[in-house]
Amino acid sequence: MIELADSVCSRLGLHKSHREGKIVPASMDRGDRVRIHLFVPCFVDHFAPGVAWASARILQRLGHEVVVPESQTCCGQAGYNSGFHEESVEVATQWVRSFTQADAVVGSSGSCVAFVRNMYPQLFENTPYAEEARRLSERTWELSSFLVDVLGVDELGARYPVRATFHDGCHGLRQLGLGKQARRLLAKVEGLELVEMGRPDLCCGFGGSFSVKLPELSVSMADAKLEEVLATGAEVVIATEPTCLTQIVGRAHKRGLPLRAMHLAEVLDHTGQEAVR
Amino acid sequence: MSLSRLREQFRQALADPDLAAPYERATATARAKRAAAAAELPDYEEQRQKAADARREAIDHLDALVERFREAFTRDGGTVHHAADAEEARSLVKRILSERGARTVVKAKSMLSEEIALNEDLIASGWEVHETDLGEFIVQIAGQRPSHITAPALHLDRVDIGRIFHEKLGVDYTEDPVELATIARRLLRERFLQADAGISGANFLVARTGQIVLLENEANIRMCTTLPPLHIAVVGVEKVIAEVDDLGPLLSVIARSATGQKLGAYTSILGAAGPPERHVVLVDNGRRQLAQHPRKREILTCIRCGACLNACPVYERIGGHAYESAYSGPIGALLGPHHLGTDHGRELPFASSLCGACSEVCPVKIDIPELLRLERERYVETGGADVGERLAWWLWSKVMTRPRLYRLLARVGRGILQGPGIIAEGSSVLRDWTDGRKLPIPSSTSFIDQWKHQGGATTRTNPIWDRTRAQRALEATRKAKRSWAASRGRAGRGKDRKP
Repeated sequence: MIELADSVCSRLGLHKSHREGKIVPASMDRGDRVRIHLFVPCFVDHFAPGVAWASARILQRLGHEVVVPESQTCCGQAGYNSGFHEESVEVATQWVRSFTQADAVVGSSGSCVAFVRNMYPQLFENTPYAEEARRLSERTWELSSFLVDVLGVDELGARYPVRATFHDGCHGLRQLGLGKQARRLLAKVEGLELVEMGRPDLCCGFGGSFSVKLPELSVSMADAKLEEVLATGAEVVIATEPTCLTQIVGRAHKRGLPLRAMHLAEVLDHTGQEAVR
Repeated sequence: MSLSRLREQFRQALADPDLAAPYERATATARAKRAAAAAELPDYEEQRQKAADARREAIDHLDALVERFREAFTRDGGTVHHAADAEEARSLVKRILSERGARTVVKAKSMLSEEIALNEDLIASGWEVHETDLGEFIVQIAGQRPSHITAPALHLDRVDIGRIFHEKLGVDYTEDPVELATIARRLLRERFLQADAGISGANFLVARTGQIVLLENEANIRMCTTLPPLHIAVVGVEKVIAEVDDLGPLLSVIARSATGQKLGAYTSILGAAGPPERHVVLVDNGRRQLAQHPRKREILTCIRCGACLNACPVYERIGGHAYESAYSGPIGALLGPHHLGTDHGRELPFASSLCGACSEVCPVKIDIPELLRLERERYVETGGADVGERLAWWLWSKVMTRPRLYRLLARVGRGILQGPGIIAEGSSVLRDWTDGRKLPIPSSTSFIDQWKHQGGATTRTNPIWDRTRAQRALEATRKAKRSWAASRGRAGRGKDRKP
């Protein structure tokens, strides 16, 4: 991840700091700002705007400029995983068009970012968007990875006294290698006690259209995940995947369990000065 | 089978409160053992890559290797038969048995024999067939089907097995594993000695040397393949590998992945020279057609270790029988659409959240989620999805490429969802979600609207210029797809049809 980020950084005009081997934007040394295009997954846009706000504020507090392409709609993954290839290309085209000017794209869903990073190059092969899709796929990061791997930041001054556990979203974990970054960031959150599950990487059972095509199975998987979460005694389950959280906490609330779900960005944004959602 | 039937089948499995427990227990143990066995080998990843390469190489040269195997095996005095499909395979086996006057058969564990329903056919035709793998033995006397590729009786605990033995064998009830094994052993020993023929599968066929490779822990396979005067190995054509050297990495990863062992307790490498008289029935049953697909051929590299079943969060909830296929779990879902192990597996690729836990542990690096997704595409292309779903995704593609319309519709949708009681009680449209889970209440304003309202910086696209280019991109995609479909039609006629 570091190596990949390193090569991208040089193209971005970022450079690796000599001290501690951290990657920091060259522009920051001069007091300039990196212009970040915020990738707002459709679910976040309509159901969890607080996650996007938290992401934007974290990046702004680090001194960067955040812009939001207003023509972005959806990355196209939902249809792709359901077997509707052509429809997905069409929708993904809208994403590429929306981010075409971006040098750095940061999103708050590991799954959506994994789709752009890993699938776009093959999705747009032999189309007029091939070059741009490939370029963008290398410049799109999930928030925790951007903070830790690209910016080399793990201390954000967050304070949140709570007993929490972290759920690894499958696509973020297995397609982007996420998980360690979030844990590093959470370790620096003052007052937060992180209790690991026996199986933090057990799928929550959401799986996009899977959750409504085979709902009983999906819910049964959510129950298995909840067993893991409840065994930690955590009040809050944290993830970098908004839809996993909806699945886990949606099931918990249906069963009358008082569990709360928070996106990593919301936890990191909890500085005591900012009101969160 | 339709998707709604699959759903009903799973619903029934999930309704049994005791079903998941043995699967959870057994897969947890298997996962831990596999992880430990992989971790103790410093170059495990290297071995895994070599194993994957050897299998890909074999599938790339399937016909040539099968021919080389035939030559070598025949040269040493064995006989090789080719079966195009399940029926031909069964007929061949029956013919060989009949010609030698064999009436009593002992069987080594073989998934292929499940795939072609060999036991049922032999028994219906008057043969006496005895499974000799302990798990298969239990499942056979219980009148059930295997629930796991490598652990057929995984769904039964020792209390169940004690009862089955008591009822079916007339022995005193015991749940002591050693006593149970002793009972089975005593009975099986007689059968080995009396059998006229032994039938096995094979883990690998070595093309260069014409050898059959079999792995096991109970020595029953060794008995089946050496004691009776006739041995028939019924094997899928894809099991061929080029060289004996390929066994190095393959044996290393298969045992670690299946049971967490360094190596199975018994590894038999059998040449054609007997006694016993040896026959190999090579079964195609759709495999060669699958081998022609540039991507899906990867499915054939599977070495049936069962690690993907143990890793799968779906398998551990619904168990092996709910798949209604000889092969369950992620690999079963990939084989289903190709009529391998089941005649009604078209929908099985949807029985996955595409979490990827399977490919993480697959010893030959099969990209299972991507292949499942490809099978879903195929399902849609061949008219599997109903009109409602097709319309929904078509509308999705139109709305999502028109940001203003999308934002307008999203606002309306959020308003509806916020309406009184809809989410709480669950409208019919949303019931599939809300029956088991609460929906989050949508925000009254979207983030992007809020951002703009507060004066946040935004960027826009040039709508006219972009639409032309988007159209061209889509056309390119369609064209690529058409030429792909055409080339597929030429390469192998009706390749995804049941042979």
